[in-house]
Amino acid sequence: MPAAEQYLKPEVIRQISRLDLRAQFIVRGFLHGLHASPFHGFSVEFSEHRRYAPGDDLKDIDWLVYAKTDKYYVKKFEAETNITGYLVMDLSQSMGYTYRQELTKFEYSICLAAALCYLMIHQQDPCGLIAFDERIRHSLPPRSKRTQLANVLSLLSKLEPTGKTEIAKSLVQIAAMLRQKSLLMIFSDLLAEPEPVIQALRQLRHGGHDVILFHVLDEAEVKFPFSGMVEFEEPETRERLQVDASNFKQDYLAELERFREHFRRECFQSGVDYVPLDTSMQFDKALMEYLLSRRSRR
Amino acid sequence: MEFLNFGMAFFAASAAVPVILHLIMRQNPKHVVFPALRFVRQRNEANRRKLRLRHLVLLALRAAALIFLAFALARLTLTTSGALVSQQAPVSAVMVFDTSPRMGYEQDNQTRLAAAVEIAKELLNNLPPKSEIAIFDTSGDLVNYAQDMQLAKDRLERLQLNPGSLDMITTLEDAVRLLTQASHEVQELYIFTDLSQVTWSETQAARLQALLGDAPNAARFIIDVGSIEPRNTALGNLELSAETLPRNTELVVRMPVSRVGGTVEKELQWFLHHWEDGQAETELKGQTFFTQEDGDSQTIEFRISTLDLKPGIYQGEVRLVGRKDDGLQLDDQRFFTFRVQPPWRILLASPAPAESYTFDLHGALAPPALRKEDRTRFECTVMTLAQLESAKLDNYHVVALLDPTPLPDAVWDRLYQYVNAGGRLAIFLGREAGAPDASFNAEAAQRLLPGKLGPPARWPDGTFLTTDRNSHPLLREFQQLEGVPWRNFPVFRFWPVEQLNEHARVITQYTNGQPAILERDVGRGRVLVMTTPISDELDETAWNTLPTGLEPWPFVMLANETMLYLVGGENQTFNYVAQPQLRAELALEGTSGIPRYLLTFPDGRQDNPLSSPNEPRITIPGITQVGNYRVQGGTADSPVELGFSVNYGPEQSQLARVTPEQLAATFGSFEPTVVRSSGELKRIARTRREGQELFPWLIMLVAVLLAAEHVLANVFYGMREKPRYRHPWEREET
Repeated sequence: MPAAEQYLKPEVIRQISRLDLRAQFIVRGFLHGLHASPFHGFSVEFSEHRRYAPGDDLKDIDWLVYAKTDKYYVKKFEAETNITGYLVMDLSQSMGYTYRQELTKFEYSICLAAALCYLMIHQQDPCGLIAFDERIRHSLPPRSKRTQLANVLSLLSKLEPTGKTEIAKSLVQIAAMLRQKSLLMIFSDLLAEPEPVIQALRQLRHGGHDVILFHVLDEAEVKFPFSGMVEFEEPETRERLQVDASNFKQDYLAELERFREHFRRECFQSGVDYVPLDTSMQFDKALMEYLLSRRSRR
Repeated sequence: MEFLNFGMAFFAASAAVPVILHLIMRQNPKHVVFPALRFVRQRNEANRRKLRLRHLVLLALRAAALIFLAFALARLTLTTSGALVSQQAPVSAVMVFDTSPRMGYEQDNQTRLAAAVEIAKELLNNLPPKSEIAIFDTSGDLVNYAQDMQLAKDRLERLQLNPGSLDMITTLEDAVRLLTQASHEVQELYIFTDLSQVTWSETQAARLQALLGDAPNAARFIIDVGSIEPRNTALGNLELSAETLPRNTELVVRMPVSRVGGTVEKELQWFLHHWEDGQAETELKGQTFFTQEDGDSQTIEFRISTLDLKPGIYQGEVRLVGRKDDGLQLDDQRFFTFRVQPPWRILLASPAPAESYTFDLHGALAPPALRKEDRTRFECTVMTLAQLESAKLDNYHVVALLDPTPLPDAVWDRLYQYVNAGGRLAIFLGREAGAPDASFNAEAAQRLLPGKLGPPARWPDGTFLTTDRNSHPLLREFQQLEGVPWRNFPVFRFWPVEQLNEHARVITQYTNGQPAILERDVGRGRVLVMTTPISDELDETAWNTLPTGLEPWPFVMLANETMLYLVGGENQTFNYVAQPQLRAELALEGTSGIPRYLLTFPDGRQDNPLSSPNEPRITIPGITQVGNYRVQGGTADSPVELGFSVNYGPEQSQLARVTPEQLAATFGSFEPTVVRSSGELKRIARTRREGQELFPWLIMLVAVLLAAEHVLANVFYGMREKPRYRHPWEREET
């Protein structure tokens, strides 16, 4: 595997402590894996020049500049339509959970969010950040300046999943808060009653927003790797339940699948992109989802 | 049920171990923080119930495996008697052997009796110590229990085929009676038989079941030594045209032959034995070849001329040649004895002219055509009644008076002396008798006549003789016919007999119920009276038309049978069928008894038994062999040469086997266990005695339970199926 693509793996990214570097590595790994510029075919206006880098399309090289300076510069373009994106982070305590992975669901979400932010800022797209638990706790208005990336990453690194959550209620608040049609990229484990959440998503869609719902679960929550008698404890409610895990796995997986299927079906009907993830998966899935969404908005 | 190793049964308590382990070794649950508890909670209740059921099933399987393992180690045994019997408990065993000649059937160079004895010896070796044994056979010998095995084995060695075998049921009666007196708790009845239909027919069922009911607890075993597919050619019941016949005639021998199993070509030979100067010589008289298939039956007839035979006793045999495809040898030989004697001398006396009166009877007894060839059975002398006074009556076998006139007392006295000494007198009463009171009802005549005569009865429309349904020896031949046309020969007049003498018997009657032929024993002789004449000519005064009707063959037959009856007597039997306690009776003719005689048995053995010197016959009891017997005695002046033959009964050749259904019907609720080999018998007898040990079955059951436990445990706990949903972009785990 090429070196850049290593950074799509959560266990590799875990070794990089700085969030900005994490984001940069993830995006570079992702772009390298595409074998082409992600901007190919995009109709954008020229904005500036930059030094040629391997991977850039040769047809973007500005030959006049080359004639004058004897150096390769590629033409940079600006999108005709900017996408205002919001990274919406779930701060529930359950997001801070992992059973045996390198990253918790929240860390995994933050990495993804950072990478997406990096991509967006890189694209001159304004990017904001909203974090919620029972209500909106933090909010950073969207900007497309390069300094915005530092602001977003700074806030992201300070966030901690600690309390109870009210996903539906918070999403409704967000819908009321947003004036401009935006792309909402929600990171949550959705461990709440599904119907209110779905209602809130529909409300967001009704407000003209595009929504990508990253349903982030821990690898253990998806694969149920337990055996023997296990006493499970729910971290938010402290509820406990004894189960013979060896016999229960099939039932659990069926129930989880039913839950995911429900969201998948409802999101499809509402025009929400539903992306089920778990913390053992590579990051490129989430990034690809963002790019596809961006293209569809042109 | 019982445990042979009871101590190990306590091991069954180990079944509690899985239960205890289940209770006290419950797994401490691992504590795991798990946010997605909502997915667990949804299905947990149903899962818990299923889990509990699985636990219980596995627990039951494990406990059951331990319990059955304990039972196996404790040697759980199933006993059929229900009683707890020690393995070495002595038994009372009664063995019953069919020793009928049929058991001489050879298969694999071994008679069925020898095969039965072989199995019985092995059985004896396997009886527990101190057992008591009784061995019956169908000879009828009484036996009792013996505890000495060697004695029992010796008794087995001595068993032999018995021509005069009792039937099995009679023997079983004695055997069951002995079983009821058994001193041991375990009683066993072993029946060694060829399972032939003759022995075990359903007609015996009631009798058999009644006697087996007397020993209901006895174990019943039938050791079937019979041949499944018998192959045999059998000679049946030999028939002779006559056992006593005069010279110059032919003996007709009818020999039924039947075949069971396969097709075979056989040769039948017949021989005649002569005694010349005390030496027996065998002469082949004839032979024939025949082919028979399975189920075929035929009668071979051959004739032996007596033309050149001197008067005397002759013996012969019929023999099947070759042993190929013939399992039973005993029915390949049949023996016969007959007597040749000079023509019987008959004195025919009548009023003059005697030739006229005696014409019909003389012609019937000695037809002129045969007389010319000297081939008549009877040699008749004709004389008038007046000549009787001076005639030497002792020279005649029979004196016949045809239509006698009243006779002087002196003649009646002579006749009485003749009859009293053993002579035979036939009187055919007719019109010449006159007034009976003067002569025939007088004292002198009444010493011979069967009763007082009444006035002659007139029956103008005719009455008729009857011979149907009459078993008297004189009329036996008439029974072979399908009706005799006596109605063509009416009787118009006859002498009624009014006061029947106490020694007299009516042989037959007319259709009007009046006696027609009577007989009376007088001293050693016999008088026969016919109440209507056989000498009347055909005219309107004739008393009957018996000899003068159209085709008077019934008269000819009656005349001959009457004379044969008088000369022969019903005791002149030379051929016997073997049966239990058979005795032969031989009449001594012309001799008033002999004090001692020499009896030569078929196997050449000789005996010199005593007899009653004043008896006119010899009785030979206890006949156990088949073949030709010879009796010699008397003096040099009046030697006695007699003989007789004994043959197996035709039922001894009936090898058809009883079907299992027929056997079940015969035994009813006392159905026995049927075995065919000593190994099978040994196993079943031991199982019955000691019970069926369930060790192999229990171990198999334990294995099945453990396997089921293993499979179920794997099914319950070992399911590792992959989740049904996997993201299309999710990579395989490395």
